Amino acid sequence: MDEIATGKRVFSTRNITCIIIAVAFFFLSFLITYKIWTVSICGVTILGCLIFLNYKNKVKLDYLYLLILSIPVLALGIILAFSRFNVTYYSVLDRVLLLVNLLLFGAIGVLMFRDRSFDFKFVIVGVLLGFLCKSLINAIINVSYLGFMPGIKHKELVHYYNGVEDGELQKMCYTLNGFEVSFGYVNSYLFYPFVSLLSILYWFKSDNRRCIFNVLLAVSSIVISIFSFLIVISKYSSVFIFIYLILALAILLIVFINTKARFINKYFKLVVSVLLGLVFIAFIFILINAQENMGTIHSFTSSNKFFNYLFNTNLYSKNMNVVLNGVFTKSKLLGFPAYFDLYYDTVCYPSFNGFANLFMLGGIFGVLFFLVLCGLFIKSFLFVRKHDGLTSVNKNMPFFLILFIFIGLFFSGNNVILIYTCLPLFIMMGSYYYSLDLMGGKTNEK
Amino acid sequence: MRNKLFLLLPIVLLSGCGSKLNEFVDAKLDHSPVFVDNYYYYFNSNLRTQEFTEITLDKNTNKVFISYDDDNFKAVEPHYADYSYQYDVYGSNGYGPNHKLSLYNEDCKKGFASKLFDGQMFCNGYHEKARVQISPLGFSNPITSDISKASYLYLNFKSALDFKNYTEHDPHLDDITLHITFYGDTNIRYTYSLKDVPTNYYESPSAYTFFGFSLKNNELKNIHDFSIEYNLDYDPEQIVGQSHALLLYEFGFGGLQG
Repeated sequence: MDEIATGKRVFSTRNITCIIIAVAFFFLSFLITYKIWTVSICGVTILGCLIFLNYKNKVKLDYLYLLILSIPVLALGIILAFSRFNVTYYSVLDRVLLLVNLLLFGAIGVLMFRDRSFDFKFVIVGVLLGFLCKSLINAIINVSYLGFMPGIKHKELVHYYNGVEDGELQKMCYTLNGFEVSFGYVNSYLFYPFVSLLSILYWFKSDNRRCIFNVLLAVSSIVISIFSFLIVISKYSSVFIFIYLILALAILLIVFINTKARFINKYFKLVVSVLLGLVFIAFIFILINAQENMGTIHSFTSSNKFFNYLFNTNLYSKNMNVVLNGVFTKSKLLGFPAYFDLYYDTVCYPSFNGFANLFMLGGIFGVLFFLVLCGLFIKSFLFVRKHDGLTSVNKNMPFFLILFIFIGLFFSGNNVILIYTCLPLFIMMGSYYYSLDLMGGKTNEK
Repeated sequence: MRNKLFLLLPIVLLSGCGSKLNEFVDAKLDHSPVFVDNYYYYFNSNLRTQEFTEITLDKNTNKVFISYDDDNFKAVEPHYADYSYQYDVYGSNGYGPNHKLSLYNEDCKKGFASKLFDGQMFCNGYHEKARVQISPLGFSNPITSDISKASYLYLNFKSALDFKNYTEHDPHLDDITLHITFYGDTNIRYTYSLKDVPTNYYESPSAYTFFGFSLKNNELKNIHDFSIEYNLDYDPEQIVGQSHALLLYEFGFGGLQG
């Protein structure tokens, strides 16, 4: 009887539907840089499953507040869809799907809240497994093509393409994009092993730390991530690897200490406000520094050898400054700054910083609507944190997944399609928190 | 048994290690204004020991041509008048851009030798960056395009003796013997002796030699590599310590357009 009961529990329609959701998130993550339509297909699958899980649900939603949310989502989507960069490089269908994906995943986030007992672990496990597989395959491809640690063994080598030198071996590597292998900056490659390290946090926050699956996931993420980092280690990549590892360790340490001492909970709002304030000041500093004709800040950074290297001359800062400088100096048709997008008459290359690239893709208004969404979601998250009715995974993991993806895009945002495929995830998790906030955190979780 | 199967994985992995390293070269190559620093020496050691059939080309039988205006070239390329030899990459009807091998195969765009397949026939002010500079020892390169249907091949090059980009030249004429070898089902080496090859001439299309010859259908079947070597038969200006090179700009085939 127990066996039958167990069998029913494991193979229930609900569990199977949730596993399909997890598989959809796995493919979304694994194919995250392939095409925009792969996100759409995964999104439609997930939406279908959630509608199936919710069709008997009588939880009411406040449609006015959902409309308030949909305005910045729609605005951001329309600005990106009509951005001249996208008009040049993407088809009409891709641009329509870009907008559709944002709305689709916003709806998915709302339905995840609406499902009384939806467990976020299906999302997290699907995404993490996708990134883990991709990290492993990327590492194997690079070992096969370039050998072990080519950035150190062959640091003097450069690659030629179409008759011209197109990259130093220590800065470049091979990455799987969908089903094709492409050659590009190592920054794109580092994104996946870094986000995979979230598995450690997932194991820590899970209800059952002795669950073999969770332990295996965490251990394999450490092994595969370290292996992936070591394969491409070089003078150039070691800076980014060091930053990623330090940030991952810092986040893990803070979460661990907070769990034991709970000191952050008391001051969480203050800490978040201070951190956001610092980020804002740093961003304004970097934005003004990039405007060479705005005097003081740029003169200060360029007069000091260390600051000049840090803010102006290293490859990361140089590329970012080109894009940020263009915000106020390169014009649209009527000579105004880049209100809606930024596209030079000559070729404009994305920088490594995903946020700066958002200026290039969406202009000032695009970034403003994105910041409005960030504000709405942070406010909701702060409210949701206070409620004890949610499991730790459901309360915290969406936030941490977005945090890791944001940090990743900060240093590995040169692949523009990654921005278009991560934005729906961001909106999904944000609308999940937003919906929880609307309903006062009441999910009737079992 | 399962343990042994797992052992195969690292073996498979390691056996493929570094399979694309040949697309990379030393960063100092083609970056130096010093002539002798820019030689490209890569030659697959397995090819050096292979036997081949040597064909000494005959100007008439093999329709050997040494300039774009050569009658033999007009005979092998019926559309020669539709293209411009000298306009190179700067016009829509440049011969190089319309015949480059990279039009037919993406693999030709990879590696140092991709300079020979990019359609750029001349220096165009890019000096050492535009050319593959070889010594008599030559170089080899993989080729994955199907060239069995090619009706002729061409090589655009300059001869150079201790060539200096910016200072005075010593224009003169050389005698060289060119060897172009293809490795495939059958290894074939084509040899031709060129007399009075312009060397160290002032930059203009006349400073270049547009060399080539006709091919029979399926003469080059299942080719996986090729090499270009030469002998310097005579240089009236050369003294001890001076280095000679062939500066190769473009290598391609006609008749692939179908």
